[in-house]
Amino acid sequence: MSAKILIVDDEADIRLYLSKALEKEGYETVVAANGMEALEIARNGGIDLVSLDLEMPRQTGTDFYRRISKDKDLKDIPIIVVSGLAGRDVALKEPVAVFDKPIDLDRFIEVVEETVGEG
Amino acid sequence: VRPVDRKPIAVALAGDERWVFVYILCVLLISAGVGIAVGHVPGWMLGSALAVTLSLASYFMFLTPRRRQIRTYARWRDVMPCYLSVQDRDLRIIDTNDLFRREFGNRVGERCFEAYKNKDGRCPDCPVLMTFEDGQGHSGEETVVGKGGTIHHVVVTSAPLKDDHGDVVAVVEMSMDVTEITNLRRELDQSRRDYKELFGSVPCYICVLDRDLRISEANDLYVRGFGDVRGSLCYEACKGRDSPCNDCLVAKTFKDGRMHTSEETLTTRDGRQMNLVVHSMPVLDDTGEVRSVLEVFTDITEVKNLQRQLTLMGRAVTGMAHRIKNLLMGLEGGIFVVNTGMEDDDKDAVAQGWEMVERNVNRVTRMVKDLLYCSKERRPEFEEGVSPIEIARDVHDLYSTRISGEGIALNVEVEDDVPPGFYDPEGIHSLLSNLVSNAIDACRFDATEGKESHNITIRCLKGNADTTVFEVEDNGPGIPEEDVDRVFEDFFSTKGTEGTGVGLLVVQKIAQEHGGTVTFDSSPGEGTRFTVTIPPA
Repeated sequence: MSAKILIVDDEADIRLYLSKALEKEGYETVVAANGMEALEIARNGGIDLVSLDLEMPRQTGTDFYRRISKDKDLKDIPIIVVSGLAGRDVALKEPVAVFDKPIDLDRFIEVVEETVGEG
Repeated sequence: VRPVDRKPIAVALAGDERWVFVYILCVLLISAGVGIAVGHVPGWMLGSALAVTLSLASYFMFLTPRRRQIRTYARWRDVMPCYLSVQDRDLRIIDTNDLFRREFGNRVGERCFEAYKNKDGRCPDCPVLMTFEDGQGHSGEETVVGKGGTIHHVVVTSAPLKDDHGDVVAVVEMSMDVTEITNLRRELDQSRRDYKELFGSVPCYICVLDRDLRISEANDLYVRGFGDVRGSLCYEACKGRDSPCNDCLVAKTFKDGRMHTSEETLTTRDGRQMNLVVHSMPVLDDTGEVRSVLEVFTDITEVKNLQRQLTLMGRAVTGMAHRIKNLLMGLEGGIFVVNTGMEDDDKDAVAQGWEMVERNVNRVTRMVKDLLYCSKERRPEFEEGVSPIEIARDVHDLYSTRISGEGIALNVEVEDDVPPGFYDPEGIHSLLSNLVSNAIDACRFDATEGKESHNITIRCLKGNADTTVFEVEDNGPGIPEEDVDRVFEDFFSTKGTEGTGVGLLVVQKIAQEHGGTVTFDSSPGEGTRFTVTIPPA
């Protein structure tokens, strides 16, 4: 069964881009426009990896990370940060990888494969 | 003391001497007469001897004060460290000392003012004449001219030479050369003036403080800024405190004699806040002890403002970079979706990808336009007969479709009697678009608990005095109180995807181009209303 990846970004075009790219590699994707939505989806279970933007309305990526870190069921979900923010490298404690926008898609797919296996 | 010629002085007093000799002659004749009348030789001889004795005695008795005067004069004349001359009632020089002759030549017989004062007439307040008048000593300051044309400043003192009746027959004029002292005094005055001028013209606030931190001097700028605080305690007068500041620079300088520097914020008497760099510098006395401390304040408010602007500019560039990265990623996403669609021969995907490309290209265009609005490159293009109501409706229609399905209701309210006028239509469109974009971003970011839905209302109304009023009101999160003062200052926001980040700058610029103003009301948690008022053209 292919891994399920949660894409969190407030930009609809970026959500679409990443989900199309990942789906093309055979992954299952689910999207959220902010931290609050993402948390709800994550709590429903089945998420293997999160691609997380940092600056978002309602609940930022950092808020989302803080919340799932305290949740024993969710705290081990690997996270890839995808953000154009200057402080992206230090925003989270132990992300799998940090990507600046616009992303190097090949490298992104590689990291995803290394983390959750091929789609 | 070398022998001196007493003759001139004797001559000066000669008038009296004649009468003395007549008196002596009379005594002699009377004595001789008495002797002859008595008729015997011893008596005659006795009478003569008595007469000679009497005459000599009376000669010495009568002449002693005068001789003493002449002797004193003669003894001191050439050792006095001043120019000395004796003058008669006509101010004609009867006698002078060596020093006088060396400096002015032999001027005996000439009138004082012609001889060495280079004047055609008597000096006003001539001490010599005053002494002739009242028999008292007088003094004054004069300028005299030496042989080589050298100017000497002298302090003149006059003293009477009296005859035996106490009448003034000549006056001694003693002129003490004070040229050096006068020059020094002038230099001192000049440097005082220079110092005062410097003190007054330096573009700094300067004051001088004593050990008690009392202000003893302050320059004009200081007085203009903080009032005439001379005599007051520094901390009371300028800092509104009742005790010295902790870390007082002046106290430090008094203690170690060194210069100290710090940055302070002070309020002028007209209530202006100033950022100042303060230097405290020691003023030393002859022994090297700190006598007082000079405090120099340099106004760096402008520099601070520039610093803040630079910080904001830095933030703006960061924000812009962030936004451009998102746009680029959106574009790349669009291209990826188009390519994938073409590979898979999926027309829907190609169309979807093109939409993404178009959307992001549009956003780039809007961003560049807004940036141009902020710069001076774009000139407003005013037209007659532009309907502000139509523009409000256009903006409403544009954004209604864009945010459909997001749970944000966009409304438009117009007063139909708002007349068409002289506007820059593209500018007004941008102004409203930016206010609406900001409102949308604000609503999207609103995490206020219990708020079910969001509303944005665009209004175009008729204001007072034929003004046109545009309003954009939202029920978003409102502007936090701490940010209210910086709303127009902080000119690039990184938040939101709808606004271009420079929205409020654009709004302000366009309003100003129309001679209008921008204001806002905001309640945290409840929403914000921006109001643009544009006067009739």
